[in-house]
Amino acid sequence: MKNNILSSILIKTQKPNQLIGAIVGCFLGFFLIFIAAQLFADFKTMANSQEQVIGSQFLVINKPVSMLNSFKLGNSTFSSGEVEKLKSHPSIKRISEFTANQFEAVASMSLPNSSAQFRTELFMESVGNDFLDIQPDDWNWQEGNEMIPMILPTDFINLYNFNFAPGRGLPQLSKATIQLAVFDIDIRGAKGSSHFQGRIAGFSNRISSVLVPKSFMDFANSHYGNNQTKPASYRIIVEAKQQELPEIQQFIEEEGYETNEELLKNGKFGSLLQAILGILAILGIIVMFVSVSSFILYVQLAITRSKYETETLLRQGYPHKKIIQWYSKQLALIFILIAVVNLALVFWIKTLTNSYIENLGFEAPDHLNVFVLLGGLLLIAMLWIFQTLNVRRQVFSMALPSSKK
Amino acid sequence: MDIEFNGITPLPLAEFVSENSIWNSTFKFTQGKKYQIVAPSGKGKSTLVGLIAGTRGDFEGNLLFEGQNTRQFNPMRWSQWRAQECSIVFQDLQLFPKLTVLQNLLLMNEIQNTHNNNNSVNIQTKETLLDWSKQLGIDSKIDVLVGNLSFGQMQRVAILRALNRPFKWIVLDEPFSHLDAENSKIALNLIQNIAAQQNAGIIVTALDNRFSIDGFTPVTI
Repeated sequence: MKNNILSSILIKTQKPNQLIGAIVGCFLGFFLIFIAAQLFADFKTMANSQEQVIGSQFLVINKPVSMLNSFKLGNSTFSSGEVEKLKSHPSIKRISEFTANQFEAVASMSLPNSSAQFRTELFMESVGNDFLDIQPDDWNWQEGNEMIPMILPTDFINLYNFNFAPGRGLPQLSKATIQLAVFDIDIRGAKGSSHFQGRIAGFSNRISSVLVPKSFMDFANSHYGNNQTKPASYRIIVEAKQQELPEIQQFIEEEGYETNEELLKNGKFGSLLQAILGILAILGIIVMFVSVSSFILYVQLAITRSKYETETLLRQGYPHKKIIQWYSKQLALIFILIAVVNLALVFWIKTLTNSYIENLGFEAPDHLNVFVLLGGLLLIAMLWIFQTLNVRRQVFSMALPSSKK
Repeated sequence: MDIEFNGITPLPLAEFVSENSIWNSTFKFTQGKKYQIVAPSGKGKSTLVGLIAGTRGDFEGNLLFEGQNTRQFNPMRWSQWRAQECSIVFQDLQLFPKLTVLQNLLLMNEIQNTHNNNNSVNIQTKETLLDWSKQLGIDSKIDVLVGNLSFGQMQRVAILRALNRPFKWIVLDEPFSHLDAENSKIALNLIQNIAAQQNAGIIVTALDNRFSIDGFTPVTI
């Protein structure tokens, strides 16, 4: 009841069109920054989890193999000096050397109800866990374990399913099916032999090699390996600092190393896309700044427009606190409206873009980014507090005797 | 509750203060008594009303309400003063033109509720307000927007609004300027009756002493 009389006095002084215009303007400002931030966050999430979107920050580097290597006259391993040079390059965040097996490994599997047996020689490598694009739950091995988890390149299963299997009339296999299979691994080296079992723990897009946990590789190399010395690295994986792939590319060319050029191109494209999104975000911030400023100006205009009514209420003894509360409540309603409609609209647009992105073969997160959500709400709450303080200051000064007459 | 003027000079009047005026001297308005302030334009009648209403702070000296210096009043104290201790009829009336006569009068009941002070609150029922408006001849306008009334009718609405609250003082700035002698008399009687019920003091300003009011102490400014 109390607020009804205030509403009927104070709202009548306002021009509805201007009020709606100011709300819509403020809404658009927040919407632009909201949607830009959300899309940017989605892009970042996808970029981190799916390398095909912006290209990898990871590069696998090797030395070129020439005719000399074929006759064992050349050497394509990295010396410790070369490794140090890579490590200390300013554009490289960190590196990990691949360790290859120094023993013979044979994988075999008997088919149930059949005497037929698959049998193949195996090569394997290991690399630091931090450099893997997937982290299977059971990706570990300790001395005494019989089961060795392995990671295969995604290309392997694609080759089998789309090339080998149809050609031979064999069934196509899903990743899940392959991960159920257990096979035998026999290891033989200069110092002895042993039997293990193997299992596929996952598939990697980043590294095209058969990977085993480093703990197993170190154990097997030292127990069965043919060499005493630390095995030399043929390949090295490096993680580039953000946006610094071009510098690394130049370095790789100067040193005469090789890497996957496609990944580099994707990486450049990713940097460009990121730069464009960054510019959009800056534009969004500018638009938000302008629209929020105009909303602040509008609120000041609104208070000025109802100055006579506010002063008259105060002069009849209406408590200034109640008037400030009334303004604050109206502003809160406006800001809640702006926040709710904004969230709904951003979520809706995100659903639309998600289905588009999924049609392109990518996976986007299906929820709003929590930092965008909290940041946006915090921004709106701060504006509300700022506006309430502004109203408070003005009404307070009207409530006291004026010295400026 | 007495109102004391203690060496008060309004800043705009500093150069025009004459002898024998309440400006720049000591003067006490005693609660329960009636005062008539008569002076030509420009002598500070409305300024005096503004000082008591707490709308003007541009003065030298001290204004005391029951010994309390008004310079120490915060907005809450002023709102209590205006709502429950001192009722003002401003010269420009200060009504809400977009509300009806009745809404303007009932607004005071809302204000009393916001002060949460239920003892001795003088809230009038709608029937009483209708009765008063009938006495002043504006009962037919009760549901008309105030903005559509003549100034004389508005003056009567402002007087009724001032009466619809508890008060220890009622201060009226040229309240009868647009009323005929008959209506002025009726209004003055109503004001005096209600003030007497609450032992309230009355301060009335008038442009000249066309009629000096019986029982009112003349004050020169």
